Amino acid sequence: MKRVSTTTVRKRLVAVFLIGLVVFGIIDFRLGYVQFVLGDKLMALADNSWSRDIVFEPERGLILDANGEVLAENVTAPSVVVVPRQIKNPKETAQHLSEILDMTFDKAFEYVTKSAMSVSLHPEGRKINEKQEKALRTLNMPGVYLAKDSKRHYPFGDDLAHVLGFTGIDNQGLMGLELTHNEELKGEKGSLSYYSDAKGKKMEKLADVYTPPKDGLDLKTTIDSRVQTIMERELDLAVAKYNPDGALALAVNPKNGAVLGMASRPTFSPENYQKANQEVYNRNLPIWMTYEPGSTFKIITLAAALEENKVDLEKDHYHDSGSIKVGGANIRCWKSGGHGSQSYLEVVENSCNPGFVNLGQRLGKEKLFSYIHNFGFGKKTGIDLQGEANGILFKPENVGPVELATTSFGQGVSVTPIQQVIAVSAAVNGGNLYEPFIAKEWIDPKTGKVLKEHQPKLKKHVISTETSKEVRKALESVVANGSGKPAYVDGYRVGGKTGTAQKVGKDGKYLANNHIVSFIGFAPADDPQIVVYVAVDNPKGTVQFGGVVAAPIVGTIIGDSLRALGVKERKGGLKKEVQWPDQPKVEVPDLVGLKKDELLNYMEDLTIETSGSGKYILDQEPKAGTMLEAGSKIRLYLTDYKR
Amino acid sequence: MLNKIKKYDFTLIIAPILLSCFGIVMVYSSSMVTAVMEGHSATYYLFRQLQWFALGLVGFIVCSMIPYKYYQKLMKLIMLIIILALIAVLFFGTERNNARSWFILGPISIQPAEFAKLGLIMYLAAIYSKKQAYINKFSSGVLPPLIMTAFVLGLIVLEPDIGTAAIIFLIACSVIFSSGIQFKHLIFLMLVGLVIIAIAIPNMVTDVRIARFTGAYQPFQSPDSDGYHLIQSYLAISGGGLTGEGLGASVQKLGYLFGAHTDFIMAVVAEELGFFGVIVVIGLLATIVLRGIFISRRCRDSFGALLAIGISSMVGIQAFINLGSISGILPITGVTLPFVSYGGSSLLILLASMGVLNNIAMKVKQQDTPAPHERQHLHEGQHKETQRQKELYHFGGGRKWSS
Repeated sequence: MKRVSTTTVRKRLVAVFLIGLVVFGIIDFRLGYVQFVLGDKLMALADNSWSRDIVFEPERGLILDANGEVLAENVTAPSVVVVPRQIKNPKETAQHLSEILDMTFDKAFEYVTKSAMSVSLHPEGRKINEKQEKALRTLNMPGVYLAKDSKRHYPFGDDLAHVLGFTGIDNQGLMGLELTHNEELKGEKGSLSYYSDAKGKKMEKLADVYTPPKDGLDLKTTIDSRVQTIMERELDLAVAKYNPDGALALAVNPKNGAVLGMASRPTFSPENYQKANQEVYNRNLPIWMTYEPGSTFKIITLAAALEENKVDLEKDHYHDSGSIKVGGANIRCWKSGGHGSQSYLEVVENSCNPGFVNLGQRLGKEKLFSYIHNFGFGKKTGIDLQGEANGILFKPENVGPVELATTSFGQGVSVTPIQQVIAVSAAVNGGNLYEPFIAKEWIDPKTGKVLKEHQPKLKKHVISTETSKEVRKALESVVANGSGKPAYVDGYRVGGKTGTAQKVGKDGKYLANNHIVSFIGFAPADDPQIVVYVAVDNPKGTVQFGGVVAAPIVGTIIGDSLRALGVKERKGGLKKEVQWPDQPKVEVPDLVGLKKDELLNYMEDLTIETSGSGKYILDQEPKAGTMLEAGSKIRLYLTDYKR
Repeated sequence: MLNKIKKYDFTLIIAPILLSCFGIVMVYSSSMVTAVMEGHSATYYLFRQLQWFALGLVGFIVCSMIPYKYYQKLMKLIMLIIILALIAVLFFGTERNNARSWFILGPISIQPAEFAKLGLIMYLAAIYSKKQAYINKFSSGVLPPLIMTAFVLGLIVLEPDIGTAAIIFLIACSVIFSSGIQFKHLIFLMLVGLVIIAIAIPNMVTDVRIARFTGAYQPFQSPDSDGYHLIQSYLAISGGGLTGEGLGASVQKLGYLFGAHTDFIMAVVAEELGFFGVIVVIGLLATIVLRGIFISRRCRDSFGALLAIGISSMVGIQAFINLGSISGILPITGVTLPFVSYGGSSLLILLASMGVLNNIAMKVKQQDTPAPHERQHLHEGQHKETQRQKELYHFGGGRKWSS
């Protein structure tokens, strides 16, 4: 019988011994690795795992108008937090939550059964409304809590929506002033950090760290809520009347570039911005929209020609034959047949295109374009809002005689409303080009002290005080005697200029019967306090002229606003010429026998009323060929059968 | 008296007692929060551990005095009691943590599986040393004890207490490995083992067990569920750094670590006493294990040698599994750290085992201590020593190693 040798056993024991050594080595090594190599990374994790932060939300700063009226404030809106461990009946709780907060049962069930200390129901349970709050308070379910939270409220509703912008779910600014001035408005979160054990109980030994929240600063704006309300009202009326593709109004204090009011149509509700179309809230038309300004741009040509002494408005005369030949192209006046012989003041009053082409030619390409640049066109004005456009000018090397000619009466350039308002402000305020602004003062919410104040920024002196005076005089006479008569306001010496801009279609050609009609006005002419610009995009059911659509709106805005601002009425201004404005009459077309659908091609300038029903037009009143005021009604009689 | 103590192995007296005392301190430190949360006083676990330690000391002293060869004679009785206890616990035991592993007798709870560990070590040591003569014959020499081992393991798996079963399995492996069975039999057994594992694994795999594995190897993928315990353990260990936060200053024991005074006590040690504390504990454990193996190597009696190797491997394997699981090498199985973790039966058995080991050590010393007149020849070499060993052999228990 073979016996086991001692050496075998000893060898085995040595092997076990060595294995033991190796094993303890491995353990030591691994523990050291966890302790020292993984250490720092893990400590950060541990700190997170131990410390509990009670976050103290700061109060977001208010947005005020120039008189301290609140434009944006905070209202409490609780958020729902559930503590899964305390929920006794998860199914029932989930069922209630899903019904009240409008989410699926599965989602709610997932929230209430999550393995976590507390679960905030994001986003369904964030900032719930009063009805939901009441429902939850009534049910009073164990483990369901309402945490204090606040949301933004805009007391003026949709007014000023584009300017104020809106905030997101965490009260962070997403648009408008809320975004541009988010840093100051938002304040700083405070917190009470304490170390806690796994059950959430406080650990007494480690010191708490309390950082108080810093409330956001209140923002006082240049906006005057009274002016804004007037502008919003007028735009609402215009929308109701003309059903335009869009409309905008802008009011600026010409003396410092402070924006008094700014409104766009279509608009949205900042509290429910999610419901609005993105294109609506992203487009703050007064700073975003660029288009050919049309005749309002003539103010720049006029100011340049006056500053360069190229024209004497009273003494120099111009004969308008109805068109002017430039570089082989024939540029026509808007009035067929032309205005005949007129002084240059009358050229301005009549907004005569050939007359302005002539002024442009007198200035020459370099001069005219240098003035256009000086007046701030072609680049952003620098207003404290997001989404401003540059506009487009001809490149100097591309400017030939035709481009010079069209530019001088506002075609072939693309500008934004804010650029026009700031340029015209400069033209009438003595020649000072300001940077427009809205944020005026930063106020400490507790002490009410003004911490920071925005000083108006003068960018450039573009024309002399004398020239500016002449421009004002000319523009006042446009309102008193010329195309801007509907803007006339008794006692406030309104000056202004109409504009009817053609729109470029997708194919690069001008659209027919689709204009942006505008008017830019200021008052009082002796000492302008306000510049107002209104543009209506493609108004329907009217003749598309700035003088017809936009001028009366501007007149009302200026009149009401100046009264609201407490500006004294003037005496001795130009008297309004008591004569119906020189508007082109519209010839009634022959519509008998046409299909009803075909009418759309004809009826841009006349309003239609129909009698009877059917597809075909049986008769019309008045008869074809009659001359009517633009916007007049004609009556059509319909039938089912074609004759 | 002192002379009597001198006969024992100092290392094996001091290290376990030191470690147990250290364990008592750490159990107190880490269990305070748990005890209070469970509605006891803060010292609840401390006192229970102290009671068990006292009992364990008695066991230690008694076992170190009982000549170990008696166990070989009482083997049948010991095995019978253990098997009966294991069967009884399946029917009359109390369920804790989903395992029916405890007898609750008034204030004390006893875990028969812990006793089975030592019992089985004794059994295997006894059988294999008895069968030394024909250990090379597989069917008569190697196989019968394996069947018995499998039966005991099966009873423990039924509780189910996979952790203890795994430890007993590994202890059995090391005893068998050391028993001197033929290499080809060893290979054969390993193959059989692999086949059994291959068949068993698909049946053993449950979601819980998979989660244990993913928890061990990718804890940060599921930090809230499967990986939670390991991450908390990591946090504790790394929080300690080199020197630790100071005794009693652990944060992770405040409810973050599950079982801070049992399975994860080493994480608390690491957090409070740092890497130094860890090194001391591992050093003491390693001393015990390696000393045990050393004694086993010196013991000329096969029963004593196998008993020593079994006890050493019991301590070593448990330590390895526990430390491996808190440091992310092994999945978390609920194995406690020998001597240090809270656990009455375990501490009692461990201290008693140390008593046994001491008794073996004493015998080794006696056999090694030459008569004074022979001492001067000690340096003369291996040959003379073997001669002398042969001469001195007559009093040893069990069978002699033969060369």
